[in-house]
Order: sequence, then structure tokens, then C-alpha cells
Amino acid sequence: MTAHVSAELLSAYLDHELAANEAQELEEHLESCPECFARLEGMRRVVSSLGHLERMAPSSTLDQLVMRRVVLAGEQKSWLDRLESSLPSYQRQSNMLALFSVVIALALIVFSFLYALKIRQSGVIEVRFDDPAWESVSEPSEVTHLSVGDMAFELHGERWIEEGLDPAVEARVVERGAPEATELTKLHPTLEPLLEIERPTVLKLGNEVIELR
Amino acid sequence: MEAMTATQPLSSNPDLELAERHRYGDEAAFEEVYLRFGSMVYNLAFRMCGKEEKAEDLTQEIFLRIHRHLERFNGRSSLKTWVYRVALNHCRSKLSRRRIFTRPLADENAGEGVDLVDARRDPEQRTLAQDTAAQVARALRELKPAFREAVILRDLEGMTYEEIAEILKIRIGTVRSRIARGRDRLRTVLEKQS
Repeated sequence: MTAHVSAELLSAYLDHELAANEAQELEEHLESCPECFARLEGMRRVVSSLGHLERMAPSSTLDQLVMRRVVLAGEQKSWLDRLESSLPSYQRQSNMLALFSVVIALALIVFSFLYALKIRQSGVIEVRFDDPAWESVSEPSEVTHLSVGDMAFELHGERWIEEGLDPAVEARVVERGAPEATELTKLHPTLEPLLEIERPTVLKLGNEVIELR
Repeated sequence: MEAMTATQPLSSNPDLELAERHRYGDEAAFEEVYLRFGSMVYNLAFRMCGKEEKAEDLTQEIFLRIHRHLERFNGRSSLKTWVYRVALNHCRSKLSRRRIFTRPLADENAGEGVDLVDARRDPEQRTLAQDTAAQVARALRELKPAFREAVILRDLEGMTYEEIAEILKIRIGTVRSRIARGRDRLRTVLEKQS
């Protein structure tokens, strides 16, 4: 081990998450590399400081507030139930239908407004493709994070790189339109949304790193 | 055999049994959940938002959600993991809305929740350590939410990588990377400040 080690390796070492041979190799490197040793010690100080942060005690009234809120929510529900059951059934149904329509219409208006606002200020938006409804939405140019199922990606230059992968890692190129890409989505259905994205996307599949283009 | 099953307790899984008692209207079951996880949820909310008053509001809302949805808990994960997931999802949804529509999360005047409890330290050491902890608490609030969540769950709540992966619904490799990047970012901030 000659080059400096990654933060990920140092952090995993602090958590005893490395295999014995990896830990030994790292320790040998640390003996001859003051920079990495200093970085490890800095990280150790961070972990120690976080561990010393006090557990906060909520105010003494919080228990009562929580219980009161739960009871109130229950009473509100039963009040609505009583009101509903006091109406004749045909009136109940038409009232419920009208209420439902108004709620849906309002929700659509609010959602459209919020979404338009969100796109305009989108430096902090996380795009998630797990909901199929998002698939048709084009990527706003300021977005830097992407979640697809349990995979998370970050934008490096023009490419989405799966979190945890080195952007310089060598990857086997798979064209999105190629039959192999279709085969891969049959084996890993969660990859399907990635075929809809325009940017090259680098991810780890088993022991292999591939780049979808 | 069926008759035997019918006379058995609700569930051999204590977490599931709690959810089943709640489903059948036993209010003591919810109180038990609150006793077990109230402080944990409050601390998580506090570290996510950085303000005591807001953390109390979030805690109330989170337990209201837990009360509504506890009957859906199916025992596939532990109740602790489930509660953390409900709490984090609620914090994310509330705080991202605040961030977009009102103001940034950081508030320089907010309390840091810092108190180093090691009374054996001499006063000077304690002051120094308290300063560092205050800096780390401030820097924690400035981390990207994805890194902050991972660091809080690992270093403040002491959860394993597997538990964190289950709560955040991400791969272990991503957990490892987020914890490392969060810690390294905190290290850089602290070194700059000193």
C-alpha cells in the first residue's frame, strides 16, 4: 500500500469493520505515512467528540403533550365518525364524494405549485426514481444526488457515480440500447429506471463495475 | 393444533405483541412504546433540527404517526428500527420543506446540547473538550442531510452498519461511504477551526 488510503477505509478501521488482513495492511501503511495517521487521528477525535455529546432530556411536559395529542386525534376521529353516522346514507355518500373531489383537486393544485417552486430552487432536491411517476420527469440541471431503489448516486462531471465508488474506477461500458442492457435489467429489475436517464451512470453489480451509456 | 394456536399468546415476538395489543385498543401498549423510544426519538429530532423546541414538536408529530401506524408494524424488522425509520422520514419531510421554503437549518444561536460528563477532567480540559464538542455539534448541523443521518445513527445512536442500512433503505457499502464522508467532513471543519 503506497498511495494514501481513503477516508472510507480509515473510518471502517475505526469501526472494526475491516477484515483482519485489510486492517493489518492498513496498520503497516500507517506506520510509514504520517499524513494518513494524522487523518485517522483527526477522525478518531471526531468520533470521540460525537460520542461525548450529551443525551438531551426533553422538557418534563413532553410526555403529557404527546399523550394529549394522541387522545385528541382519537377524539377528533370519533367526532367525525359520529357526524358521518348521523347523516342519512345517501347524503353521507354524496357528501363524502364531494369532500373527496375537493381534497383531490386541492392536492393537485398544491402539488403542482410546490413542484414548480421546488424545480426553481432545486439545489437541495433529491430526485428519486423509485416512484414510477418520476420516470417521465427530466432531470433538473442543478440536481447532484439521485436515488434509485436502494442505490444512491452522485453527479461527478457528466456522470452519475454510485456512492462509495471512486469516480476514477475502471468500468466496463454497457450501451443502454444494447441487448446486454436489457438482459441485465431482467436479472436486476431495479436497474430499469437507470436506462431512462440520459447521463452515463457508473455502478457496482456483484464484483463488477459497469458504466451504462 | 389450530386450537392450541388460538390459545397461545398473541405473538412470541415481544415487538409484534406490542403492536397487536395496540391494534386491539390497549392504550398501555402505546405508552410502553413511548417509554422505550421517547428519549431516543427526541434526541434524533434534536440532532436533525438543532433546536429544542422544534425537536419537541417533531417528537409529538412522530409519536402521533407511530400511534396511527403501529398496527401496521409487521415484525420484519425490530420495533426500534421501525421507529427510527418513521422518525427519520418525518424529520426529512418536515425539515426539507423548511429548508426549501423558509430558511436554512443552521441557526448560530441555537443550543448545542453539549455537556461533557467526565467529571474527572480538570476544568481547563473540560472547557477545551466542551468547545470541541460544541464545534462538532455545529458542524454536524452543516453536513449534507444524507451524511448527517448516517453519522448520527452510527456515532450518536451507536447503531450497526446493518441496522443503518435497514433504516435508511440503502446498501451497506453506501452506509460505509456516507459515515466516512460525514466524519471526514467534520474532521476538516474542526481542523480549520483550530
